[in-house]
Amino acid sequence: MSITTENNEKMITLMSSDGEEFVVEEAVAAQSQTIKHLIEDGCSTEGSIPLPNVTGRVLSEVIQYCKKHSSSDDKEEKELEAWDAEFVKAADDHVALTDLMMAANFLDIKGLLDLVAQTLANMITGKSPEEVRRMWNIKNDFTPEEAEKVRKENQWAFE
Amino acid sequence: MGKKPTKKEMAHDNASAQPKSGHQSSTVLSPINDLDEHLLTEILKRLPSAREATACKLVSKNWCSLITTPYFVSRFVDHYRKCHPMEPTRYSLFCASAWYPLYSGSKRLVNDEHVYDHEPSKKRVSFSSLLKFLSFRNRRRPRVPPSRRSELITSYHDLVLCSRNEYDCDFYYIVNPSTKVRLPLPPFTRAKSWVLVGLVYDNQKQSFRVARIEERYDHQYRFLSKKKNDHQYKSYRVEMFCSEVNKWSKMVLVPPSPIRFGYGLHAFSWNCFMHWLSLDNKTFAYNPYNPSKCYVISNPPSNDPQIGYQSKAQYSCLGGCQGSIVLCRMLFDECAAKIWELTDYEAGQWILKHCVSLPNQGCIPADFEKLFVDPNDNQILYFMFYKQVCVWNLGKEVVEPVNGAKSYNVVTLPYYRGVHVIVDPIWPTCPALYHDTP
Repeated sequence: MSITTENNEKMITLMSSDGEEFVVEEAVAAQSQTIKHLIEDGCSTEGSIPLPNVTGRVLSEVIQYCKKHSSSDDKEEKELEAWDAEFVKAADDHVALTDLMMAANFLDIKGLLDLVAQTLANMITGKSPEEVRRMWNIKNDFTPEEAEKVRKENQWAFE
Repeated sequence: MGKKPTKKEMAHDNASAQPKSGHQSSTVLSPINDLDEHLLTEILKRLPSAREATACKLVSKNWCSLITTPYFVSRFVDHYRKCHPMEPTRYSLFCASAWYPLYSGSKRLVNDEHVYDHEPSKKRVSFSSLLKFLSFRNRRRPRVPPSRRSELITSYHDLVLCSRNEYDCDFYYIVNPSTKVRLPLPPFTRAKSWVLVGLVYDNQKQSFRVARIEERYDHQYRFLSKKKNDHQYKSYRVEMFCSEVNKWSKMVLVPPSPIRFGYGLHAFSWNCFMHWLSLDNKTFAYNPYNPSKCYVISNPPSNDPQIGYQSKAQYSCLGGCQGSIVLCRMLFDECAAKIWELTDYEAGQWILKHCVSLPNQGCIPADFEKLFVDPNDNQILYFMFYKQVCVWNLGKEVVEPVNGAKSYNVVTLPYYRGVHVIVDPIWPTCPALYHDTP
């Protein structure tokens, strides 16, 4: 269902995987290339657009990002950067960031994907492999011998 | 209007729904583990250096296999270039006969400090291991003739080909100064004579090739004939090492037109092509991945009949600069330098880019040697002058000793080996041999 506001802005309804509905301006939703293509294909005219891969929690964050970035074309770039930094800080931890990244990838929002990927990369920077594993709860599936082999083959990176 | 929870609510939600990693249970794996190759690449390609990314290989097998793929490396390099668009190629020049870096880095490296501020140390490469390797035997065997010492033969990007000659056997090594990896090739059982040697590495195939090229002719004929430089050899014997099969193989090469070479020349290698300057003022370009296709390109004419790379009247070198092959010629009589750029191999056209007279006339003596073009700027030439490294900026028309460079103890070999460029890479090349274990 498309609703028109007083600004004559076309509204789009997005439905998350857990059934939450979000009504947003078309310009905001169109930040996502995936949604943009759906709109262009006429999928938005009947009911809401279902987004089966994105939960309501993540979708609300994505919408926050899209709102900020669709309304700030003429704003100072620095201000936007500061906002982005706050935004990823609020996302709190890598679990939320990873969810956000998967959503950004599915919805095809390049700016958000770049932002989140860079934030995650910054989290690894300067950490040892053990610290990375502990931080992100990644299973060490190397046997001691295999780990030693990798270390030996890439000795230069561990000096 | 849709429901819009505030950030605080969301953070709270999140905390209650998902146990924080490492706190409650180590069995709950992070969604990072579920990221597909594409998304993991997106994260890891944004690490600040190849060193950081390579260290991540130890995190898990999945990460290790991803970071090892050429796909990941190319994405990493692309992203790095995008983030550092102004960064010039960083390199060191090696004077082959001396085992000392002539000049490390490029001049602009010093000025563009802001480009590198994310790295604690700007220099990625340490040459100490290479120097140690090269000087190891030489220092212990001072009486060994130079032709039998460990030598730096040629370079390709960040790889170096070294050789050692013992008991009429050539031992070749591929050395990467940035990773300190040393790879011995199977021994080669023929004394070197009149060989052109080159090394290239193919990033896509992740393999390298070393080629040695010799004239096919009766050695005795050379001593019988007085006019030893008179014959133009029609065919050549090529002995090529392919890392894919870990073997030397033999083949015959017939250049499209006759060409004559001097003694033991190292190749200038560029984009998988090896290049040599011939004695009859030509450039020979050879691609060991496509050996049937080679080019003989006539160089710009010179009034010096005995042209080669070095004569009493001139000094020539090949170089790569901003994506093109350049030929640089220093003319002693005219006290001038000329620089040409090659259009392409098929057409074989040289376009004159610069022709500049030396600012203070008459300062090029016979002592002048070893010429090199800056890979970032074809207006900048390096050369040795009275054992001092000098830089000649053709645009500004100034010749000056390189900043901070002291007089190097240059031991010149009886024959010319030239200057080698060793690139300080964004992602170091990791040469490997194919191990046949059926």
